[in-house]
Amino acid sequence: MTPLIFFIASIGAIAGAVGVIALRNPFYGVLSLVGHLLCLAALFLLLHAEFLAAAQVIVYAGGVMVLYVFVVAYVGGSGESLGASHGWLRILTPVFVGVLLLELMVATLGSGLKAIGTEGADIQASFGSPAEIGELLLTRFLFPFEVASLLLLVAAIGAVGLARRRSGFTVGDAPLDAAARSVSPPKGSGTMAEAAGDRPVFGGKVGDQ
Amino acid sequence: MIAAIKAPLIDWSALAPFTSLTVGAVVVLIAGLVGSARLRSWLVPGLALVTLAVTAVELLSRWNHPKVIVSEALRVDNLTVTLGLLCVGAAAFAVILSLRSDTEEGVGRGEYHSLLLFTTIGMLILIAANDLVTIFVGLELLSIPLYVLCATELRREHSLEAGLKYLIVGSVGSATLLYGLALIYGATGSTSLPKIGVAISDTGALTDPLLLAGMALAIAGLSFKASAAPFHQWTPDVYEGAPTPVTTFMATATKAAALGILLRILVGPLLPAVDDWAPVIAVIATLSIVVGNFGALGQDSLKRMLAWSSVAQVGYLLAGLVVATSLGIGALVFYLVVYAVMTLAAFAVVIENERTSDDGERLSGFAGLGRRRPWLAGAMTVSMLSLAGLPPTGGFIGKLAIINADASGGWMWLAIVLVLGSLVSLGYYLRVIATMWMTEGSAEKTPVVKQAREIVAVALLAAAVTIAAGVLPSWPLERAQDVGQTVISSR
Amino acid sequence: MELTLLLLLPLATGLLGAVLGNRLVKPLAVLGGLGTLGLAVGLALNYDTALGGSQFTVDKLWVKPLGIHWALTIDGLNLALVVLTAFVYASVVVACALREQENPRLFYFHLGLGASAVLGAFLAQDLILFVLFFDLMLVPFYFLVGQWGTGDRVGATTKMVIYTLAGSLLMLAAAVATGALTASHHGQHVDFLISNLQRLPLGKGTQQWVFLCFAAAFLVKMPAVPLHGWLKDAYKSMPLPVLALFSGVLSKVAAYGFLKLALPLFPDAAASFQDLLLGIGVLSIVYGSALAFTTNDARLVVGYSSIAQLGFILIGIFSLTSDGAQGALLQMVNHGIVTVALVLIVGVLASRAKGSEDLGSMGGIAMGAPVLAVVFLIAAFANLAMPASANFVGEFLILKGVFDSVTVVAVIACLGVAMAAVYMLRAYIRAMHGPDTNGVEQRDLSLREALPILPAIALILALALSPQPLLKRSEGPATAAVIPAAKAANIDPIQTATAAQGKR
Repeated sequence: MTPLIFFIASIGAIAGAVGVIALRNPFYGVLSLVGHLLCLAALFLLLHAEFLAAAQVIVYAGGVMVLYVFVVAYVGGSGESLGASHGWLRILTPVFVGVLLLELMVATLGSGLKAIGTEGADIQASFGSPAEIGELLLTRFLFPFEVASLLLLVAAIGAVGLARRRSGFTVGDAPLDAAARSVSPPKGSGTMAEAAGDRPVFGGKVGDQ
Repeated sequence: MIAAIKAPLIDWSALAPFTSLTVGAVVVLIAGLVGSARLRSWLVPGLALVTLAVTAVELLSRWNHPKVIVSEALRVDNLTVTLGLLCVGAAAFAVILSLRSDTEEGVGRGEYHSLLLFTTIGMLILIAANDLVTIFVGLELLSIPLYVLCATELRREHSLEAGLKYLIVGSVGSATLLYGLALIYGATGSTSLPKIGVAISDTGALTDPLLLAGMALAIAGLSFKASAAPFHQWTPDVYEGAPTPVTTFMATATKAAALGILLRILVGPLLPAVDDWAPVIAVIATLSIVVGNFGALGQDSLKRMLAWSSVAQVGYLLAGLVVATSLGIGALVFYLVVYAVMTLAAFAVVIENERTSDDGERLSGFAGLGRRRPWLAGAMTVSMLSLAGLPPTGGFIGKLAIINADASGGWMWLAIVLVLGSLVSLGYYLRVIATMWMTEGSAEKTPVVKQAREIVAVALLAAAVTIAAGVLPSWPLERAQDVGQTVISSR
Repeated sequence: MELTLLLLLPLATGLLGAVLGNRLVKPLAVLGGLGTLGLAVGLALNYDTALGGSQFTVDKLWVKPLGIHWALTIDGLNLALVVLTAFVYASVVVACALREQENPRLFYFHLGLGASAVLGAFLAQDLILFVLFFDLMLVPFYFLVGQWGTGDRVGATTKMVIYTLAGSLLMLAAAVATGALTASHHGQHVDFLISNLQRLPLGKGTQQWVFLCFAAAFLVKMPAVPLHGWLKDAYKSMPLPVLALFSGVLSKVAAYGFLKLALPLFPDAAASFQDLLLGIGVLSIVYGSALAFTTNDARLVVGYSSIAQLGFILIGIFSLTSDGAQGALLQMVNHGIVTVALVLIVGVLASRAKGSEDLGSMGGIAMGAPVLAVVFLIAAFANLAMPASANFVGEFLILKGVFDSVTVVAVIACLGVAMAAVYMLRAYIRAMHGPDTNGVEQRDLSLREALPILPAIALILALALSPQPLLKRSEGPATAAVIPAAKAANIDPIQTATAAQGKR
């Protein structure tokens, strides 16, 4: 039973991840991500990490994804499909990814798949319980745990700071966005956009500095 | 049920640099809420500087008192002290350099400075990390404030673009690192660096492909942060787009932190695998030297040029890392400090020229600077000569030390690559010097902007230190080798 | 201690002048120049010839972790060259002080830095210290050409720096490798002191590439023929007094480097590359001479003749005989003095010909300028190695040494002597005699112009009358420098040396 669930969940997780990058419609992309996260939760369950699995479903698949869907509903849906890659990147990227995949597979298989045993892992009764996790967070991983709280604070500061720019700064009479978009780097200055092919043209006024 | 939990012992005095920075960051954030804009404009930077000064003193007091604290999460040793001081100093100079820039218009003065302090904490944690989890959390605390800081100049599209680009590429780097750390954990069964070391030397984990793959991914992930080729593509765009004081900070402190932790992992627990990782690092170093130097050749923007040159400089630094001896690490640490100082001088001049000239960040804005402002041009000249590795500057001695380490460690070809790279680099460093001293041109802004004394002072101070490091290198080199010794002996 | 003072004096006065301001800068620089000369001459007089060897030695550990010493000394090998440098610097500073400079503070600072670096390279007894000064002396000249030069100065100076640094940087790597590999080869901790490295030679294979890196640096600096591409532009745009310093002493550092470093440290490699370097030397002589008598530019005649002269010095050194090395050493000093005189004379000639340095626009100057004519003639005769001049002695010794070791080379090199007569006399006749086509001003040397030139002329005459003191001091060390390489090449330097002694 367990191997069966493992393979189903794994294939689901990979399919979900592929879907996120392959689907052109952002809404389907988010849905695919939800599927991916649910499959991950199933994998956590197989590892006897019930608490993590529950947290995964509630926080990510539940809370965070709802926000994503909201954002896509507000901002996206303009019928504009997300940018396709250009030129030589279209050929090179899959090659690079393929090589990387091959390397990792060699590494994983090369380890002799020692973890695959008939007996299964030796797991204590309290493993993966909220109490156990809590103890670890307050003893062995106390420092990273505290730092994580700082990380949240920083994220909040950053989000508020960046959101401020929405409140209508202007350059002269023109709204900021239009003014800013008229500035773009000169040709041949080696931006990433150039490397990826044509620079998307904003607002029609490009290149006059 | 679990019985009463024994809370870990916390050595507050060793933890003090981290706590003081945290407290300072929060205080600065709150001080940013003061109503009067004038009060804010000196109170916030002042508090930030005080915080950094206190942290520096606390770090200094830990010299030669190595200690592992908070359930082995952090190791406060000479490496932490040295690179920590470097990051704290870089942050302090970033505060000074941004005194006149209009942070108020961006994320706000308080937020700007507290983000700067938070990212400094992240660097300190990263450098001191003694556990894979701490490494990752430290890296994130370093990165996230920087993403925001890059995007703080609201009036320029480039700034936002820089922030976004850095965020995306940085996330790829973090994910790569995380994958690598997970594989290392999988291969050795522990997240604690010393225990990983024990696992590698005791069990046969050394030949485990899982470990090797993890190592490769971890190196790649940290190379993103250090902007070593081929993981450097974001560097020119981000360096150019970010506000120049932030660029200064990134070019100096971020590199130090990323190289610091690379050093700690590779020369620490992974030292038995040196034959596996040294060729990888050597290849990355070579690529960085080649790509960085050739990329910098045609640049018209000083910031872009310095970005490419920083890629090349990372290559030189990694050439020191390849030799995993106290000689190599000493050379690396010495050159890292010198690199930070000379880069600081260059960026300070760029900032001042941006303020006072039209086109100040472009090469053409530097035309005739030697005539207009000889001291400023002098500081830039010293910085360029040092970056190119000419005597009598710290850059010369630094390169000498690295070549010496390479030659003694049997990596002579890498030393030759380094030397040839320096030769190519003359093409662009000398171009800056020639533009300043040997071409006419007056690009003063109209109306004339008042000169910023503190920025000129920073530039001159950094240039003076660069020269001093070239004339009297004995003391700093010895300290650097002390650091190398502690890193090697601590495993 | 005296040597540290001597080394730092030009730099210190230059720096002081730059800081103190426009009015003090010239007196300070002249003071520095004359002080350096006085100090150098004083040291030379106090040098105990009977005792020989290294004297006035300073040896302090400078960079402890890397084992670099602040080691300076004077021995028979560098004594004359140090005095020459001080002399040329003093002449140049005086020549500069008698004309107006734009931005004098930085000008004299760079000039002083250059002189200090050259002195440092001559005095250094530590391999890395030598390399440091060798690299350092390029920096001030980069600025001197780029800021105070004429024509396409930026292009010229960039070309010069990149050419020279290509060699120097390779030498840096090679020098570090020498120390590091010596340490690992002999399994002990070795510093970079030349005397220590000399005792522990490297393996043959390593010597080869290390030697080639050093040779590349020196050959570019000299310059020798396939590597002389930077010379024309740099010479064309360099201000004349700066050119006097550059051409007078900088090229000698490279030749000195062969004698001081390349031969004693890498004897096996020097022996196996002897033919290559002799070939380069002969090529330099022939090609440099050919260039010198086809150019119409007075300045370039001096420049190209330098290539030829340094070719002579090179073959003298790589004859691997005591005579050749001694002749080379003497010729370095001679050429340094003659070049200063010639370069300054070119400046005088140009001022008569409405600022043009083209030989075609001169002519007939001698009619109204007897003193100038005599002065120029003396310098020209010295440069073409007229019998009775010290240059003759030098070239004779070189040719004798080469004849003893590789006869063919000596035969071709003799051709160079004849060619030197052709290009020098051609230049002299075209400038001083011949028809006055362009309304050249026939004014004699003024006191202001003569002041920096006459001491050089006096020195040329003095050396012509008695080159013996110089030869006596240099004999021992010059022989010692070539012995290891000569042994490796199966040449007997001692026997030929004693034979020469008997003849003299």
